Amino acid sequence: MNDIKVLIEKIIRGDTRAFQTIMNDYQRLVFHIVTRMVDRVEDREDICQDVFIKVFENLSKFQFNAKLSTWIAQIAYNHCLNYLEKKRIPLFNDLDIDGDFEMQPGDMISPEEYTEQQDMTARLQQAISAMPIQFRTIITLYHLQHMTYQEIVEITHLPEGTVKNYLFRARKWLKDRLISTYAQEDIWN
Amino acid sequence: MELNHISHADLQEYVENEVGQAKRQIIERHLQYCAQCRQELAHYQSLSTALNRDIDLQINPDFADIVLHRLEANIAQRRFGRWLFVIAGLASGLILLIALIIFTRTAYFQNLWMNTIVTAFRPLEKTYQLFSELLAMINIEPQVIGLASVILLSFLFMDYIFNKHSDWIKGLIKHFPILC
Ligand SMILES: [Zn+2]
Repeated sequence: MNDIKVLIEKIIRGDTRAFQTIMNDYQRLVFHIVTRMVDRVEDREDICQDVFIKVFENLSKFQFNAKLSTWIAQIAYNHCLNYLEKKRIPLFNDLDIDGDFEMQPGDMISPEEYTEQQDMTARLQQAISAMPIQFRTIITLYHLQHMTYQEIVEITHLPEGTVKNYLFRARKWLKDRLISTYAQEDIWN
Repeated sequence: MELNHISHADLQEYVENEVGQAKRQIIERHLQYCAQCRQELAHYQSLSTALNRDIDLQINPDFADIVLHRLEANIAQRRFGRWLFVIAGLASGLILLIALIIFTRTAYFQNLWMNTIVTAFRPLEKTYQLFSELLAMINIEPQVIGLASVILLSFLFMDYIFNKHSDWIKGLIKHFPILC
């Protein structure tokens, strides 16, 4: 904690090189969020750059009683929200509880991809990209960043009940989808 | 029996270790005799393992350098902007000063200046006249008013000094520092 404080003070004084440490430590966090929230591959890197520039410029506002990872994730999440809003891409966060989501034509697995994607990870990624953005984000924060419900609440500003509900529905949907698409024996290997 | 199966939410939380001791025991007891829920549990366990597997993010190896470069460019630009602002401010100040000096040396200004003083003081004179007439009407000597003003001002001043002043006095002093 003290190390972080010293580091941040250095950065606030304008030491851009010290900022490299922050980027190394939180690069995957930011890329995870942006990769799952932004579909256009060519936009992702610029968005990640913008997020870190925002982090650098707002570092003096960081409260040390908060977790730096949560704070950075919040900036990345909000930045992606702004991007989506500008591009008029819906989050589907008002989906009703029993609502099912359809795969977009673009998300369908093409025959070539179908044969290429022999491993579970690739199939899972396909299925995840067919989910509403809000679901993907929460799944990512929980499973790839191993965040708690409370941390996800802080990042997304969604009520805890909603976060849990989205997680449950997303996992159930993924499970059903993967079971129905592929033969049961070989799905998880 | 259908109603008594473990809910999907509970199965998932069981897999993720998010259930309390009591619920855990209930779930485990049910799993002992229900093959259907065991099957669902197995699916969720496999899904969880798959979800926890990190993904290939394809991060550009120069990513950090690009960001640092942008940051340094931003800082330099801002610094340049600030200098530009200072220089522009100084230059326009200087130009204004020169213009003013030249202007004060013109005959037009000399006349204007005299006229301004006379016009500015005329309403003031009128006000004072009106004020003393008013005081005479209600029978108070101007000296009394003067004394009262001095007492009030010294009260405000003391109040300020001893830091017991209310917010509006603070505001007043801030806006009219001439008072103290
Ligand atoms: Zn059961």
